[in-house]
Amino acid sequence: MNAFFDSRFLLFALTSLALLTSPVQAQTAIELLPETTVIFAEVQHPHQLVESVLAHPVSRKVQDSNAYREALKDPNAMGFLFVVRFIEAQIGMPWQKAIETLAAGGVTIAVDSRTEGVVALMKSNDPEKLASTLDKVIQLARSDAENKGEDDPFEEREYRGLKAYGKDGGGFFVYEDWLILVNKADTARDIADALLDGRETSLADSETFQEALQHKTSEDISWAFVETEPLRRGDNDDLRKLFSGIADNPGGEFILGGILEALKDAPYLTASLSAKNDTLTLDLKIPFERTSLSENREHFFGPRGTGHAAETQEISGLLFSISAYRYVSEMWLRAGDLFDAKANDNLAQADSTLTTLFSGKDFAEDILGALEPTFQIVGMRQSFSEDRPTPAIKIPAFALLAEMKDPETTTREFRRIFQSFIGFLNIVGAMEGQPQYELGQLQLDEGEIVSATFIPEVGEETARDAKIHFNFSPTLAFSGNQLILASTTDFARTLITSDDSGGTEKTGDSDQVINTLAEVSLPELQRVLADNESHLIAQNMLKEGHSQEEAKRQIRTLFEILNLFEEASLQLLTDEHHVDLKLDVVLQPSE
Amino acid sequence: MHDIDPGWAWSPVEESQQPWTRQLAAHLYRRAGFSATSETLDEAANKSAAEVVAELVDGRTESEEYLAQMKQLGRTVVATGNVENLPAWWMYRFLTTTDMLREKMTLFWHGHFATSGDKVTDPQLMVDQNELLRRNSLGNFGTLVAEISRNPAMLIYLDSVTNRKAHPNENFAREVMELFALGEGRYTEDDIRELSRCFTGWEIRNGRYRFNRYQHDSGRKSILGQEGPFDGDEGVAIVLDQPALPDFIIGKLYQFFIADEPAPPAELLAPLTIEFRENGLNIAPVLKRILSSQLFYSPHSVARKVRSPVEFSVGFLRALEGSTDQYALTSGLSELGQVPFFPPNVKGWDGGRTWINSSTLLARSNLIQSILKNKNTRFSNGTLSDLFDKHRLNSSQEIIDWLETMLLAVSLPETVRLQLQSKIDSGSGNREERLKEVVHLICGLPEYQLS
Amino acid sequence: MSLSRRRFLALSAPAMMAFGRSAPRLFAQAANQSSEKDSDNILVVVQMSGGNDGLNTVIPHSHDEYKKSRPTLAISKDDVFAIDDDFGLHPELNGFADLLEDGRLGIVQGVGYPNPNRSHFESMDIWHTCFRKNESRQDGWLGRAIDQVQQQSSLDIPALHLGHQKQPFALTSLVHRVPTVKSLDQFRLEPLSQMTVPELQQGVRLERSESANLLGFVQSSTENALDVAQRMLETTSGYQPSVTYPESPIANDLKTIAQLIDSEFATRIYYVEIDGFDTHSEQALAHASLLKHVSESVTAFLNDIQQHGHGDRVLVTCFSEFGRRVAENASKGTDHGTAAPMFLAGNAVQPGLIGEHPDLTNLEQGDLVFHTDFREVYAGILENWLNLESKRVLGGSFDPVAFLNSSVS
Repeated sequence: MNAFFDSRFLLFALTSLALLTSPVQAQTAIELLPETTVIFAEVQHPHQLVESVLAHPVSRKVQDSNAYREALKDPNAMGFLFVVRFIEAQIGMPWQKAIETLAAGGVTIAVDSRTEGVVALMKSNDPEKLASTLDKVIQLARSDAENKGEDDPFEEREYRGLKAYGKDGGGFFVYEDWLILVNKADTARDIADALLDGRETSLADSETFQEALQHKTSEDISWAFVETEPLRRGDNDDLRKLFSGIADNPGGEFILGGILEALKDAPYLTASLSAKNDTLTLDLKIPFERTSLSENREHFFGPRGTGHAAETQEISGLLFSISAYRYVSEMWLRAGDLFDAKANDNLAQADSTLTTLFSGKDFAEDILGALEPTFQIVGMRQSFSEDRPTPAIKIPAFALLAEMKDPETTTREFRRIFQSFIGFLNIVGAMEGQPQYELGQLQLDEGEIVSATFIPEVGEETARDAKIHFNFSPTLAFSGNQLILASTTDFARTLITSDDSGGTEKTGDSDQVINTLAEVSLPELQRVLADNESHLIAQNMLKEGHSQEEAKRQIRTLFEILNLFEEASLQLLTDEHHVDLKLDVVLQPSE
Repeated sequence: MHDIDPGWAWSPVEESQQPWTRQLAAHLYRRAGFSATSETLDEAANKSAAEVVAELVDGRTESEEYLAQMKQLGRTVVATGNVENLPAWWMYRFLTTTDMLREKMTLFWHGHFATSGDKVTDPQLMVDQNELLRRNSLGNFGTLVAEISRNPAMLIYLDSVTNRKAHPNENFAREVMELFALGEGRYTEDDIRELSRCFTGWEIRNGRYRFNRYQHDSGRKSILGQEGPFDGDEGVAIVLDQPALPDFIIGKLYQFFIADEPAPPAELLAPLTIEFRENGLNIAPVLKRILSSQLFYSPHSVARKVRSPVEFSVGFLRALEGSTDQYALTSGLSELGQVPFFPPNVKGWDGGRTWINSSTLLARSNLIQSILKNKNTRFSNGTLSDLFDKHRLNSSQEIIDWLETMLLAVSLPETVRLQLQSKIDSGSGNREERLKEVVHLICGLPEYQLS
Repeated sequence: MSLSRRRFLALSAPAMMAFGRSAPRLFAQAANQSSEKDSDNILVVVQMSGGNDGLNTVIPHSHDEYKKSRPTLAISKDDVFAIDDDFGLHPELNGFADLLEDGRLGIVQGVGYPNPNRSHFESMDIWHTCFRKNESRQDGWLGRAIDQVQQQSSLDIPALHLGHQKQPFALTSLVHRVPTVKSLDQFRLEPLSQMTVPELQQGVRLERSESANLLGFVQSSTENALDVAQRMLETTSGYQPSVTYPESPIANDLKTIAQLIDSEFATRIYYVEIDGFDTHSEQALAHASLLKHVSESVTAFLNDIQQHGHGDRVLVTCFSEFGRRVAENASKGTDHGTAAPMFLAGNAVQPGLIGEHPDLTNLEQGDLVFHTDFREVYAGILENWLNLESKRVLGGSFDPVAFLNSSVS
């Protein structure tokens, strides 16, 4: 009995309660919430969600996995299961059944800006069952607290005939088929009044909300709305910064600049979670007028927002690929407008260092400026040949692909810069006793390769635990106007000889433009990690203080989890009126 | 101190005078190791002091599997290429080894032949040196010096990777005399110059030792009163033959195992120095004698040392069967003033009162706090409550008694004991939080700083 | 009980008296009362790592050789803060210019050493230890200075290094450990609950019945440590900088030092670093921003402690491991060189230029020939400011550079 009444228990109990109830009530959560609601999130049909999760082949796979069986042996998990069974006995049905029968009303969570409170609303279809189960839970919690010599966990209060249970302002109460949880007394009173008297104006009357509601589809498992204006004006510095439109540092600008641009003026944003076949999609939409894009963010979206990512190369076995439109040269030169003095100071110092590395060429103008604004970064697991040193830690190969504006002149420039850069590394490396690079050059039908390969020490030509350096053979390759900078010669060759005509451009609606597309293959990731299994185990021992046994088990569990997934991708899209951030997670196909 | 009878001091401890208890076994394991678990103390208490000491000195209890694991861990850390990851590896070994004395002596020699990863930077060379020290830690001192003289990490650390006939590099010769074998004032500057000529032609290339005969000065040298065309090994042998050598080494061992202060008079050390010389500079027999001596178990020794940061942190975890994030542990250690593989200078760690100032004391308390807060910290694979339950400690008094034996060399003032007991019984927060706080408080008290 | 054990008990009493419960001094008040002259003067060392371009710091703007050697990097007479007719400070050194006008900045010109080494590491080691590679280098010049300080009056923390870098060799002592702290948080006692601190204090302060030497020492040191923690808490919560510090790591470090000094912390030597002076290309902007950081931070620091009433006992010195070549390179930068100016700042300093500027027409391999040996500057700091004997610290006799204004000495 003892450890029962922890947070998990309460959460479970309340969730179950919420789902026990009757369809008579006509009111919806939207009508119940005040117009000053700034965050609204709902799961409309929780029972369908539970059902489809349990029915999905992946969840069977999970239950069959060793990892799951191991996890069940954990004392915490066993305690949890015990609690679940206990509650099931108390309410008289298994939890899946409970949710399924109680699903009709949906679950809503909202934040009100006026009372600054958070409220969770759950609608059931059996008020009697709801009330009796609630009584049981309260009773159990009280007797447990008494056993432990702790204070009564629930104070009882009355408000207009409603009985509320809770502490420090927060608590819960039941009204007919509604179960309401709140964290503030003011919010509680406001909702109670609305239940008893109805509202003059509710969230349903908000124009912003109604506009946002149009993005909601029947396929959405869950849908959320955030009104931005109150957050923009609020006291929270982090939020204010998020909506200020300024990144303040080049890294942040490079990754997020466009999103910040859209957030700056957006009156609201919406998010939805949906599932189709084996794909889970999280979609964040921000209203944004593409045509009136400010000049300062043209480096991100291209002129009038038309800059789109290059077609991705179709190569089998890629670990990840990122393709995007970003005109870095322009961003660098606009730094004065984009960043504060401190960031500009740092950029000036970086410019000095980079210009040294690039043999006196101005980094922003001469190097970045010679390239088109689209680029790709791709990665792939490496295989190591027997006659070369194999590094102890195996890092995937990766490459940057860019287009040269004027291949005639820049090819020579880049080749020379690369050669002198390698020379520079050799001099620095020699001072620190690091292995040296050997430069090589190769002409293929498809183009040209300039490679740099580490020379192994005598006697270590085929070492199996070579230094981490042997993951790299920096290579520059040219093919037409394409420039490839790869971490290994093999990968550069694979890229240059691959047939890139089969590239696919993923588009949704006709006016949608893909600005950024990132994909990662989870089976490949699992293979890369498996290559380094013994090192991951060792690191786990040092990091978690585990024995080798425990460490092994954890790493294998990680592998099993990765094996459940096929692919994850993240897209940044724009259409005439929106910026759209879309995350897709693809599960291993069901047999 | 001058009046301690050396004959009494080094004679074997007698059961009739000094009953062998869990407390004394705990003292032995604190000094000869990194503290022991309650079970180990129980087992030890059932044997005699001599038996336990013999196990510590002669025992090779690490399994093949364990050694293979340590090797794999070492390879992983080396593979990261970052010398800063090495301390975590050694801490893991401190925490898990069953050959505690050998590991402790490896740490002793690491301080004696101090070499810092800061300068050497190649983790493989540091691991190689570490293995060299471990292999010889209980062996022969002469062999140890001979091997360390050719050790790449050592020579890189002492700026001695080249040593040409025309410009002999005096660094290594100076350290051999001053820090490794004789101590200051037992040689002249001329001796250093002449000895450095013996080492000419000794070079490190690509992380390996090599002898460059073209750069060796084969002329006659005059070292510490002896003349001849000595090479490096012969030069070292002359130094090792000096009467000052056993005094110097035994003096350091005395400070490491018996007491930080006051410095022992020569007469007190005499029986040991004679034995050390007579057995051909073998380390194990001398250690056996020290660790089973009357003096070692007397109030001259118990609680007469300040715990080093490694003893402080590893001792805490080993006594309480703890495990934690080694990286977090080692990153905290630098503020305490001791990071294995990174001694502060060629003299290693001075120890004693130099461990203590207000900055290191606050860091000590804060390190225990961060270990207790770290989510990866487990005691006997669970919580402190689990640990105390496992040892069937029910009342607060039993818990404090037990912690006192496990963690402290001196007992707590009665008022403090009562304060801690009432905290367990009626402090604020849940039981685990109260237990953690009591353990944190104990480790912040002056008593816990002593070994 | 055996005879020897009884003898032991008889012995412990006098031994106890020898060590007592004495603990090192934490705070400066005790020193103020003692008659020892200037014994609490404080030195703050600012290390500018990477090799600062001295010629574009203290600028010989009108010299033909300067203009000729620096076609793109030369800074014209109109832009500098004039020191005298021939020399001026870099346009971003407004802070230093103010200090100069205020009579609080001395500039030692052309500081270096014979047979200059142009490797960052080696030259830095030479500045830190005062010895060359082939000599025995076990400790640093400030480490040896600390050894003397501790002989005069034992301090809890005689020297302190602030920052995230590894501790500079200069602070290595064979006898004493110098703490490196990243922030004042390291002087805080981290509690598991709010009860920890008072309960620990209570537990530590109790009389120990058997207060053996070592236990007594650790006990009083722990009491000290808790006092420090308490004081730091009050200091950090109560400290109001009287000036606005710029936003940079070095400014933060210096602000921390100001807090420590203001809480009467008995530390004599503080050390901070700023990296990035290795400006091989596109030097102009990068160098300007670095100089700005140093000058603004040091000036804010000096003004801050001045207004808190400690101005008279603080001296700041800024150095770099070498200057840069006279001629600029083709990447609009400069390469490793030799002699460069050193700054000394504080109320006690005799303002203006000290020593001679190296002759721009008499170069050695394209580099300036030093005029003042850095060890002469060190000697001046040791002898005249810290009241220490310099010969042992520097490994030889050097003429102390006279940089203090006469009213002080």
